[in-house]
Amino acid sequence: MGETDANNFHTSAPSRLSTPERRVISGVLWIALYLLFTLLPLAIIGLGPTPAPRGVWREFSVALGFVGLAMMGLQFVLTARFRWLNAPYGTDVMYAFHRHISLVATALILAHPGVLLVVDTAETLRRLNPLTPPWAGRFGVLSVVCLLALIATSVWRLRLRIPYETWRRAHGILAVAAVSFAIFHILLAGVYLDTPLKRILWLVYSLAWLGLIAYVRLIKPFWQVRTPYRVVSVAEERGRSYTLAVEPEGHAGMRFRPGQFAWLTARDSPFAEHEHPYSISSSAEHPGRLQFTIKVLGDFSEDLRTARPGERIYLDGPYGALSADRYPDARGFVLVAGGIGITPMISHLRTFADRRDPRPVVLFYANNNWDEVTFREELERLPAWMNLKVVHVLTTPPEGWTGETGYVTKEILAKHLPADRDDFLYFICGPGPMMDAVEAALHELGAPVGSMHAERFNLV
Amino acid sequence: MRHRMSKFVAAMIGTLLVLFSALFALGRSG
Repeated sequence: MGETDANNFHTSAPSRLSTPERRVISGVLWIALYLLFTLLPLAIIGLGPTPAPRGVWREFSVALGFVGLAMMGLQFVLTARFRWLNAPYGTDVMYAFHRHISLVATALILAHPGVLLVVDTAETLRRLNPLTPPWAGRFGVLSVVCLLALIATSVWRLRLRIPYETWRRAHGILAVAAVSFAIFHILLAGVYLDTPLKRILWLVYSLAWLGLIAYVRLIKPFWQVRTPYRVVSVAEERGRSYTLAVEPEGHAGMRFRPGQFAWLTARDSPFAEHEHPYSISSSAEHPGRLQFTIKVLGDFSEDLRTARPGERIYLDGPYGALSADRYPDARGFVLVAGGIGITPMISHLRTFADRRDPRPVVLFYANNNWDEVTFREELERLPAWMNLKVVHVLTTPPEGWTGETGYVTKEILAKHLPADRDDFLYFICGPGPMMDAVEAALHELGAPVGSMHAERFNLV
Repeated sequence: MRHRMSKFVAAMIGTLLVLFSALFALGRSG
């Protein structure tokens, strides 16, 4: 009876709203809604009196075009950083899906003229010739050219040596152009939107995408300008890193979960879209002062290092699913960090220490050498406040080093993992190859797939 | 792992959408 009462109490507790089961349900629901919204254009053109059928292959090609365009339009939803949409998957996965599904959408869109070229080569070539009418054909070609430029500059951005900011601005412009030209292509072709009702529904549907762009590029930056943060200090850390501490200026700031991150804009307007994602490294118990520990890796991080107290910065966040607070039932945690991947982990450790959380935590922390171990001294102190075991793994250890060396291997994990680790969760953050290797090793050691959580910071 | 899932879901959605497009075409052309 007592146990039943306890369960009932737990069921009615507010935290139940963010339990893993609920996230799975909403995760599946969003996928179903995604399918529904991509098929909506077919429902719109199928409304009421429909145009005469034009042969199965031509109809198939048209359907692929409509569906492909809907997928392109929905990309604006995926990247609008809606928290309720990102929560079940994590922001990194949302961006990964954005990349994967863009290739599928492009294939469907290219199949639209592709199928027409096969079934009616001469007529299709005439329509696709930009030097001759119709305008519908010209807009279709323009849309595909923008789309191909969009994909090429994204897939080969590094190879083409396109700076991140330039790419990001061009990405937005090309995306809007590709979708807008495609909308004109459909309106001018006019065959399938043959009644006022269909034209109105189609316009409402496509304007919703453009409304999202206004939300992301205008409304959100406007909100960020209204809620600025002030730099309090910049402190050097080990491992070519520094900690930037900021406080909200004239507003309540943001509450976050340990392990989450925010997009940071400095020395520029939020409207400039010149922002970078950084993990919050401070304790979630002190949301009034946020800390970001940043490794100097490029121009932005180098420049930010010279920030002066009082300087204004802007934040968009918090985001990210790599947080122990999403799993209140976990009995313990294994954290695996590589280099600056320590930042979401130190946020966890500081939060746990502040809360005097008694659950066991094992931290595997891989670095190149002992001098570069960010938060080294603090990690020595933290076990006084919480149940923490730290395992340092160094690729280039100093003389006389008795700890672990090399990479975080299955053997090293097996040696230090607690024997009783049922209902433990595993969080991994570091370079991509390390995360792949650690995930595989943990899986071989019996960690269930659902218990491993990794966040990849190459979001873009 | 979750990234591989994302790839799988994208492929699955793509396949379903091609199937629905084919059904639409078949339905329209009787």
